[in-house]
Amino acid sequence: MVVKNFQLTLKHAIHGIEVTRLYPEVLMDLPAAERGIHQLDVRTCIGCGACVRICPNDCIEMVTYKYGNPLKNKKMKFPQIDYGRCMFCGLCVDDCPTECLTMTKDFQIAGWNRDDIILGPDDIAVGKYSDEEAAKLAEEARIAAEEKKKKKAAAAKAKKAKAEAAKKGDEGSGEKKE
Amino acid sequence: MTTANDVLSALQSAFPGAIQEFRVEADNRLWATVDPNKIVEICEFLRDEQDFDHYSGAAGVDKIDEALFEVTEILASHGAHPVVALLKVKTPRDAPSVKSLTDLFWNANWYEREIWEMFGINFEDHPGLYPLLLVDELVGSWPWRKDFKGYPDYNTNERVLEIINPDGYAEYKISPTEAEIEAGTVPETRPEYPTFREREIMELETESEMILHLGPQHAIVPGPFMLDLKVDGERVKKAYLDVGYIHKGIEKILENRTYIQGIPITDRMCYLAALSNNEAFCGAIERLMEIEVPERAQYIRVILEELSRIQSHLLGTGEFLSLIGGVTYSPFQWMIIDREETVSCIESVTGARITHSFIRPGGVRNDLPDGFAEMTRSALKTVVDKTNEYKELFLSDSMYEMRMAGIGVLSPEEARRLGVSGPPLRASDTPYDMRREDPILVYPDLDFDVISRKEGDSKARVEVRLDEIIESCHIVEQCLDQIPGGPIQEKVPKKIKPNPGEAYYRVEDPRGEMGIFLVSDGTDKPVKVKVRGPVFAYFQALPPLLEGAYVADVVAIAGSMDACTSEVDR
Ligand code: SF4
Ligand code: SF4
Repeated sequence: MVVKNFQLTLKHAIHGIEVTRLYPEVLMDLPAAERGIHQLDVRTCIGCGACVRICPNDCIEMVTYKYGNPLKNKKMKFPQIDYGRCMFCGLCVDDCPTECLTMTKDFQIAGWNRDDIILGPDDIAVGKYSDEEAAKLAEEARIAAEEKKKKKAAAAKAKKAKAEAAKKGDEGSGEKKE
Repeated sequence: MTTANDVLSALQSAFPGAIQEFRVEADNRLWATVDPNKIVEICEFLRDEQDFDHYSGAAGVDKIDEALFEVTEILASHGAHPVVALLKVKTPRDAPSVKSLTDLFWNANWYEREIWEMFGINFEDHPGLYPLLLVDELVGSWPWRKDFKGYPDYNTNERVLEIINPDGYAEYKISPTEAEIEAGTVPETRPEYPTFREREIMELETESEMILHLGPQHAIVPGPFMLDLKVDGERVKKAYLDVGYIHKGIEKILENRTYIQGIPITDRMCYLAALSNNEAFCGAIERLMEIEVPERAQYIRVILEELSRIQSHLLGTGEFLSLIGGVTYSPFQWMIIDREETVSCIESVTGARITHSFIRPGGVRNDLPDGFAEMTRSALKTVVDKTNEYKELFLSDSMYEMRMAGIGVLSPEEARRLGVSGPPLRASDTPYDMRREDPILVYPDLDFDVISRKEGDSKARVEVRLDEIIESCHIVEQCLDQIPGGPIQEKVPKKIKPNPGEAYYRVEDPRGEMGIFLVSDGTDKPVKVKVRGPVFAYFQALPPLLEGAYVADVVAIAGSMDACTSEVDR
């Protein structure tokens, strides 16, 4: 008989089992593992481009961004993600060597234009430096780079000198042989 | 029990010299390259003498370096023994032709049509070599050959040709256009064949017959496909199926992705079975790399695959029962509630609700989170209670009985002949389950029953699914009790490069036998991935099943197969 069906319906009605989700007022409880919009720690990203290479859909592009850490990321290139193509597979996150790229619970990304859903480093960054900090870091990086350059130059000089010395020696020995 | 070695020696003594090369990979895998002239006799011998009554599919491989095409026929048995024989036939690339197996195995038809349209390999004595998945414009350009330049690119690099028509509007055409053909700039090698429409019109015999179209877009179909029924009054005299409306060319895409990048692509074949698709793909890679998955990872995979089976069956059954709509209630919403809970359990591990991209060669992506066991146990308890309730409900419902019992009956012999697998096959008294036949992961350590029914009708198919939900809950609970600690990922190189060779790996998808045939040449991209999906086989079996049914029952029959067009078209 069909009476049973109505019993079940009634049971559902009486026990008030929640079916409808009150989105967008009430969001679902999402787990920590959720793969939503990315988050980039600009303090630690080294600009290696591993995320760009692994992405199956080619959504990541490296762009210049100034509030990162020039001590780690010399060219100051950071990933920009095109969410029109991203399928939230998480491969980029798995491949990031410094674990600076992670995925968050945020998933709401609708926009009016296609450009709205291309998120640059500024949109997904955490740990952005302020202007002063950035300037200070840039200065530090410049000094570091200069020092390195000096060192390199010195090393090159030393090497050259050495090579010359060796050459001389060679010539000397060559002469001797003759 | 027959092993691959026994089959090989039987073959060698029956056909001396016809087995050109062979490899016994394991007790249940036999690879052999056979004489192309003898392939039909060999298959007949295997079918009649060695119980290879299950034709599982065929794959084409383009060996461009050797100027060869290879067709691999995959044969197995419905439970008599676990051996899978993969017989390779080679054919020259300039005039490719292989003997058709359609006389021996009815269901070879579609597999051969697919290989023909994609590679241009002719099948001698095939009853109707028409395109199956491709659009007519692409037939003749043989897109899965390795030297195919991308579509349409014959001469230019453009994807579509922009033509400004006399009114000033732009029209987009896939090359070659008529003008190009006339000018002779594009070689026209399109084969001649009657279109799908013409073929069905040709079969109209009397005035009282007519063609009724269901689809390609229709409220009752689970994705776009066209089901045309030749009806006489209320009876279906013949059914025609046209697929390929969402053909994505996933097999070709996978050839252009590294192995890791391929994993998210396999999700997209069927989102309800994303985890088992991942499993099949990664399993095939693991076979080639010869790596053993850590035990904990194996348990995690089993747990998730079973949870995914539960959610797939819940959605499939719920959707189907609301489609037939004749019953006084629709359990769709109830089943969706249960499904949501199950999906949330999966999501807490994988981080996604449908496309999981979770399994990796040699392990899994994440470990189980804290509290997963409790959460899953409580969800499973609800699922089991509710499923039992539904079963009772259906039993007591006379309208349900009238609508479903004795409808679309598949006898065991017929089901095997048509090549269906999964719940529809098990509902026809053939307890054939990959988890038993071709055990992978930790399934041999688990205690579970293979559900089957004797009747073979629509009702039995739904019952099998409902019982499988309960059985899967049982499996997950065992896994939660037994799961050991330890690593979840075996050490694999960062760049995955499997050893050159071939592998065939089967898993029990929620819908049946999902097999991945993988050919590797030692680089980081596969040479060929053939997806042997379960729904492809169901779809092929649908027209004979619908013959003679009432129009009103068509949905009750077709829907009870729990189809997924996305996976047919791949
Ligand atoms: S989540 Fe996947 S698709 Fe999206 S950016 Fe990362 S690798 Fe690319
Ligand atoms: S996000 Fe990670 S992988 Fe991408 S460039 Fe930065 S450090 Fe490299």
